[in-house]
Formats: sequence, C-alpha cells, structure tokens
Amino acid sequence: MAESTLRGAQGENLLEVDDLCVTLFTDAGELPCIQNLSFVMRRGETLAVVGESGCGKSMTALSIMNLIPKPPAKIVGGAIRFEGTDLVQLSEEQMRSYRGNAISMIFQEPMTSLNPVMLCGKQIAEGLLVHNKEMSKQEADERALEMIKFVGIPAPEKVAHSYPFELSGGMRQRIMIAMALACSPAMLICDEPTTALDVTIQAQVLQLIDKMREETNTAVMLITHDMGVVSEMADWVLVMYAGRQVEYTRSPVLFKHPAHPYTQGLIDSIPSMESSGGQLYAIPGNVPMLSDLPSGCLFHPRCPFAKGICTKQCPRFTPVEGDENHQVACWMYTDAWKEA
Amino acid sequence: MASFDEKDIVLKVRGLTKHYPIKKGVFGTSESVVHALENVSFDVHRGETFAIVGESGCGKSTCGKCVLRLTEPTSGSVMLDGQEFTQLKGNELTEARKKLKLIFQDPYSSLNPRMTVADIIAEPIDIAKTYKTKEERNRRVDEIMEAVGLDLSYRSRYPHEFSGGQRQRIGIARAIVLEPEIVICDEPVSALDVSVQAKVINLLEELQDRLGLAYIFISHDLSVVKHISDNVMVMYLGHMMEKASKDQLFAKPLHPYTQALLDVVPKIGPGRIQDKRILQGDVPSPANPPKGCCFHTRCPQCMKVCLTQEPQELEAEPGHIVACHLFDKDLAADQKEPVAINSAEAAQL
Repeated sequence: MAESTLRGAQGENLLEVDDLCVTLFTDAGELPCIQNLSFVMRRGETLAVVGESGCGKSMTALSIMNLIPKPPAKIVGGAIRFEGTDLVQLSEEQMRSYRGNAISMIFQEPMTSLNPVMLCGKQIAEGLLVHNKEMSKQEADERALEMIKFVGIPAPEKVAHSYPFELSGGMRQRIMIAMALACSPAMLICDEPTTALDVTIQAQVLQLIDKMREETNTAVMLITHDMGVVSEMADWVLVMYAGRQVEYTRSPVLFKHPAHPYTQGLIDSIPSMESSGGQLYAIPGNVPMLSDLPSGCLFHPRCPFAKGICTKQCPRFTPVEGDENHQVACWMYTDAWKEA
Repeated sequence: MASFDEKDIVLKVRGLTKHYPIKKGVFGTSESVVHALENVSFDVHRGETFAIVGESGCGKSTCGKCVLRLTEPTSGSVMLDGQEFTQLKGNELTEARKKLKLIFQDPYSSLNPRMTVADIIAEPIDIAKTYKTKEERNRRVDEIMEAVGLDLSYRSRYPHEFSGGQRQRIGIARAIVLEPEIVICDEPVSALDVSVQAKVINLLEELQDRLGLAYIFISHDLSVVKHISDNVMVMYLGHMMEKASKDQLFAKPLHPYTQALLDVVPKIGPGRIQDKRILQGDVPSPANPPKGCCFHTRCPQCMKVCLTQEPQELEAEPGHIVACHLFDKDLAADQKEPVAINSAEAAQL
C-alpha cells in the first residue's frame, strides 16, 4: 500500500465540492435535491455526512461518483474538483477510469452489491483487471488474496474461493472493503457501511476502515445517522437538511458546541449511555417533501427558535464567530438576528 | 421510569427451549437441529419493561415468538397470569392471546396495504368481538388513534400514505387496542431515524404509564435499552448470559460478553475507534454450537472448564444472575487455568 502514501501529505485538499446543485426533473416539476453544497475533503481524514433520511446524503455521494440516476436527476450547477479535475465535466468514459480506481465506494447492503454467482476472489480481481490493463490474471488473483488477508479475514484462501452467500454479513462487508481498496483509491465513500450489521461486527468493520485510512492516507466520506459512530470516526462533520448543508465543522466541536438548532436536536434525540430516564427530546415535525419545501430557512417549521426573518429569507452559510472551520447556515449567528 | 410491583408477576417463563430441525435428504428426515433457544427463564412484572438484548441470531426474536406461540416452543413453560399458556387450545387460546400483543420491527411490511388505518387498528377487536355495535367499535378506534397521536382524519387512509414513524404508531395502536397486559416489542425503533425513534420511544413510555402495560422490549441497541428498560436479559446463541436490573447491568456488567457489548457501543466523546477493544470473530452457527460455554470461542477470559462444562445460572449478587464460570466459587484451581483461544481458529472448528 506504499504507493498511495506517496501521493500527498495528510490534510492536503483532495476533493473540493463547490456550489453543487442537483435537481430532479420529474412529472411533478423540478425538485431541488441538493442546493448550493460546498465542502472539502482532505487526504487521510474522515468526513462524516449526517442527517435524517431524505436529506440528500446518499445523493451527495452518488453525485461525486457520477452515479446519480439520470434521468430524473441532473447536476445543474457547481463543480466537483478531484485533484484539480472537475468530475462534473468528464465524459462517461473518462469518469469510468476514476470510479473504483481513484474513488471507491462501499454500499450499505453487502449482499445486494456483490455478484451472487461470482467467487469473492474473482470479484476483487475483476476491478483490478479493468483498471490495470497490463496486469495479468494471475497477478490480479494474487493481489486479491493479499487484499483479503489485509482486511483481516481468517482463512483467506478459502474465502477467495467462496461465493458471497457462504459468508456472514460482516465477512461480506469485509470483501466489499477489500474490493473498494484493491486499487488503492485516494478516496473512499462509505454509504452507511454498517447499518445492516451487528454492534460487535459494526465496530470491527469501522475499526478496519479507520485503520485503512491511517495506513493508506485515504480520504474517507462516511455517511451515517449514528452520532456515536461520527464521534468515534470523523475528523470533520457535514450536517445536511433537506438537501442543504446546515453545519460544517470539526467533529469534537460539533459535539461540544453544536450551533445549528437541527444539529442540537439530532444530538439531543439520541438516548445517552451516560444518563437515562426522562423524556427524550424529539424534533417536532418531519423532513419536508422536496415538492413542498418551506420558504426561507428550510428548517424553520421545526425550529424552536424560529423568528420572522427565518420564514422569509434563507440564511447564508457563514462562519460562526469568525471561525472558518465552523460554518453554519442559521440566522441566530448573524447581526440580523438581534434586529429581528 | 414507571415503578412496578416486585410481587405482581404477569408472565413467568421457565426453561423455554426451541429447536428447529434441519431437513435433509429426499424424505426430509431431520438429522440435526438449530439450537435457537436453550433453557431460558425469566419473569415479567406488571408495568415493567423487560429488555432482551443480543446480536442477531442470539434467539431474542425466537424468544418473543415462543412466548406468543407464533412458533411452538420445543419445551418449557409460559405462565400468563397463573395460566399455563403453552397448553391452551381453541377459544381459551384466543381469549388468552388478548393479553399478549406484538409490535413488529418493520413498519412497512407489517401492515396490510389493502386495509385502511381504521380497519387495521380495529382488526383485533373485530376478531375478539369485544364491541356489539359498529358505533362502539368506531368510537374505540378513534380513542386509540388519539392516544397514539394519529390524526382522526387519517381513518380511511392506507398505510402507503404514511411515513415510517406514523406507520409504527398504527402498529402500536393495533397492539394496544384490546388493552393487553403485555406487549412484545420486537426491535420497534431500529428501522426509524433518530428523531422519529425518540418520538416512538416517548409514546411507548407514555402509554405504559397510562395503561400499566408490561413490555418485553427486544433490541440490539443498548442505548435505547438503557433508556427504556427496568430489567435486562443479555442473550448469546440462544442462551441467557446475564440478567439483572438495568442499573446493576449497566453500572457493573459481570459477564465478559456483556462487558464486550457495552464496550463496542458507539459513544459520543473523546474516544476514537482505533483505541477500542473489540470482540473478535463472528457468532458461531447455532446449528453446531460450541461445547461447554457457548461464548468460549470469543471470550477474552476463557478458562479450562469453559471448554467442556456448560455454566449454570448463578446469583452473583442479589438479583444479578449470570451464567459464567468466573463466578463459580466451587471450581478447582486447575479448572480455572486460563486458555488462550484463537477466535479465528475456533470459528473454523
């Protein structure tokens, strides 16, 4: 895995998403699925993307991979710069050389994303052969076996010659990780990688992803709804709501000083292991439908602090108290709040 | 937390066992069995929340199903209000089933898509024929819909029109419409978003206070269990590992498996995942469970005796029951010799 460590220093910007807008063109009209999304991902660091279902987390990941369902979805604006190249402008052919090679993805359901009639070893080798034209089949098989060992599977030879149905959920997810990391990608996107797994297996898989990140200096995007996982894995956190970014900061800061009322609500609604009893805080209402977005700040109908200004105008994404590393889209942190 | 009477036991489960035969060959003769549930005993008090936790395949859902007799237990007894539930037949069974209800994990597949909300909720009362007139029945449906926070205008809508949280409310309404004594909640919130989850948990607690329900709360999420439960039973591979009040269990887990489970729960705090001690290996197959203590293949404190002898339930502290040789004071010194177990190798055995 030495080659990827040479690619760049930790903390260097790898991916810059700039003002990304994705729209769904449906019979019901144009639905803004992602609006003005901007963030950066750095080498060797983990960015967690959190939010309720339907907030555009998976759409963000699929946009980077250029895997959004077209039609109805279309990137209508903005840029996704990966090592300086704008992925949005690439042709399908050019994009294919990035996908699975420089950028890899791990999906939520390991059973549905593996080929059920192909040996696990072969599936890993397949990706290698596609992206390395000069590699022989034998070399690819050897590399596949090396990867299976690398992700900590006992009896790697046996697993390489097994079909996915013969393996447990945790093992399958390890095969997915081995496959994703086989071409030593610079960036790994994990879309709810452990939701279908048990707690101990979840911890094993997450620890593995984190170890890989450290050893190969990969940038990891972790899509999750588990705040505990965010706290243990992430360096940076992006909170999304109804297709917009509402908060972006370093992970410890998010849990110490969550700025946006939505983030506060998310954190408060988790039953804590430290304290127990009493009523849980629940954010009132539901995530709005894309076809029926409220005016002004999208969160205002559910926000306990909403004032007149929130219903009229959408807040800009600005630093909290001048801290460039902590940005939030909320009127509470602007001068307009005191006047309102 | 709702208080409950220690003496008022609604459900007494003793030695509940379930083996599923594995059918092989042309004639479907069964050669071996899957040990889904082995000799599980517990009591549920009136108004109490009794949680069953463990990884998938540990038998927690089987336990719930066997109590309800949705699958017939192989052996063991379930005493419901002093009546032997496992022996009931016909009308007596239908009558007794009014006291036991179930809430399912998946709010999408557990509601009939062709029935309106009102009909779904009313189905148990229609079957039990509780109300003579249609007006009474409809009044009861309205009452329950209000109790679970469903708008009355939803009466004639269909399940697909609702979100996950709303559907779970319909499921809860259906479970409580007959005023049962015990509701078995099989992972009721694990398919929901955190904010919706919080609402459903609050609703369950509120209904418990109001109606004096007892819950058997089956879950793999320890933080939810810690929030809602009074007593907790930890299961592994069909066996009871540890059983105690919530405070005892979370403050001082005794069984190495419980400790490992508590260690891996993702927590908000300064800890990073790299520094965690994580239980290695996978859960062994219940068709071929390990000999001796079923946890010995993954146990960090495995001893010689664990390989051969199954641990008995011991009361390590008052009210704190654990099935582990570490707390057996009668063991000889040579039996206590630690054994290093390679979990990977053991899983292959």
